[in-house]
Amino acid sequence: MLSETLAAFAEHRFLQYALLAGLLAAVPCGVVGSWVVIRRISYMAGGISHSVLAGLGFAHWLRTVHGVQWITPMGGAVGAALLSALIIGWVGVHLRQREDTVIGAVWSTGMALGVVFIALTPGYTTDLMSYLFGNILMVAARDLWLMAGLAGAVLVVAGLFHRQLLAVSFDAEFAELQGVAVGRFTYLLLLLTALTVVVLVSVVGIILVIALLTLPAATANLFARRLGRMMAGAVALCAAITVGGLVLSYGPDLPAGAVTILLAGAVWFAAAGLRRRTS
Amino acid sequence: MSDVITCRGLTFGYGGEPILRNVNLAIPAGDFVSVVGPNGSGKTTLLKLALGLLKPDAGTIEVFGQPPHRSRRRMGYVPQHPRLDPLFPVCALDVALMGRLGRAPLLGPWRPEDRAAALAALDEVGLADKAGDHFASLSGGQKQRVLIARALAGGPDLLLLDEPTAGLDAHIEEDFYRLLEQLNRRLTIVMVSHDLGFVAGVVRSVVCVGREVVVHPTSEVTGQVIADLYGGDVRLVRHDHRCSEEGHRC
Repeated sequence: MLSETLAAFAEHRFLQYALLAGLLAAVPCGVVGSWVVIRRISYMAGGISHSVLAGLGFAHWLRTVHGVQWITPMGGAVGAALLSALIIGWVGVHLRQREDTVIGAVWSTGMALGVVFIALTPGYTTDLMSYLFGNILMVAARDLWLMAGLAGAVLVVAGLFHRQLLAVSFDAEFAELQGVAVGRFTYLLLLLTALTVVVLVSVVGIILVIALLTLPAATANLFARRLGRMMAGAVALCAAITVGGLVLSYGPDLPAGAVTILLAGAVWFAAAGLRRRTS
Repeated sequence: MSDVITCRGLTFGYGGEPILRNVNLAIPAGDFVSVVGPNGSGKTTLLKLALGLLKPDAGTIEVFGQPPHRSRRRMGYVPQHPRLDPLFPVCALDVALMGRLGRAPLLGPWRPEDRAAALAALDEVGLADKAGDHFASLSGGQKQRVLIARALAGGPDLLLLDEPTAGLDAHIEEDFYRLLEQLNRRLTIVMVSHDLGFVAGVVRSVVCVGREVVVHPTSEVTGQVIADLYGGDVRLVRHDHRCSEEGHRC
């Protein structure tokens, strides 16, 4: 059966695109996922990823109902993710209190908006399922270029400001005394998270993004004691998990996104258990 | 000798009633000051005002003759022991390097001189051989020394410490004061402290924070004074400071 799967991957272009998408997504996923884990902003990442549905639905509606062809669903996703990151960042920097309430509001109103726009759009409702749970097999060549561009931008920016992001995550007050603009770097990290979320949405869908963003990084963190190694480990794990999910789901015809997340969860549980036993 | 920290009529409160009222204080260069007072009296607040993290409601505070935020490069800050994620992926050297951020360029990797300064700071606190160790795996005393190395890496002239010995064993605490005594040969030190047991040893003067803030030379701080600072009758104390007429309740 494995040989049949391999033969299918060798033959079909959509499967090759899907593999490439998984590998491309692994790079920002491991790097930004590590920041999300050590800065403890998984919940913010969750808010951003769910609100992406508003952007996807809005773009879908504009295209179908109003014939606005220049806007793509992925473009709508980028817009919604960046907007949510700015709202959540503003609350985090300026209000601090009741941060979780605002994140919850962004999270659910974003989803509700998306559902309304999708309902207003005639056509197949299966689109909703593929937004929510991902459909890596639908990735087109144009999406791959956009994903590569986003991944590259995220990596360059994260690399340039690595020291400041680390200092702010470790001890924000001390970083501020060193002249680091803590608020600006909080925004920067959220914007990087937003772009990464958009890349990952193509792979596993809106609902499952947080798991792929945080589980490989958390698993790598169990064994790595320096951030660089944690990131390298997270990228490698993320790549292995997305490819593994794709291959395992193909034979029994299961949804690839869900199988990918199950694999990520299983790896994390196993690693955490192993770590507990050895330490 | 010139003064390192000068407060004139300094008043500060978090919204309501001021915690610090009309504080007048001068800390000379080379001093080793312990800031004492009951919980909630404003010891840490005074430190944060000196760092420029808080702004006075009235009056002024100057550090090296300038507003605090302008003198940050000359200050090294050691915060209260942070409650840290035990998996946080940094080694001792990574932490010490964070003290170089104010001097390093905005972009790019650490320069060799930053690494050299951070390693020298770790060496000074006696942890050169632990530079590559996972920060969270170090003992409480070692972590506190790494945080001092982080403060020293930027080359400060004034070291500000917030309850550095909280939670340390007594014998480790003694080593710790020896290190501070050694650093005091070249730095002015201001330390917020939760206890008074050390006073006679290395500290040169004591700033007592209560409704009024007063300075005692250490030689005049007797056991009786210490008892008084925390709620006794102040009229028994013999000292030369500028106490208000009705005394002070520290």
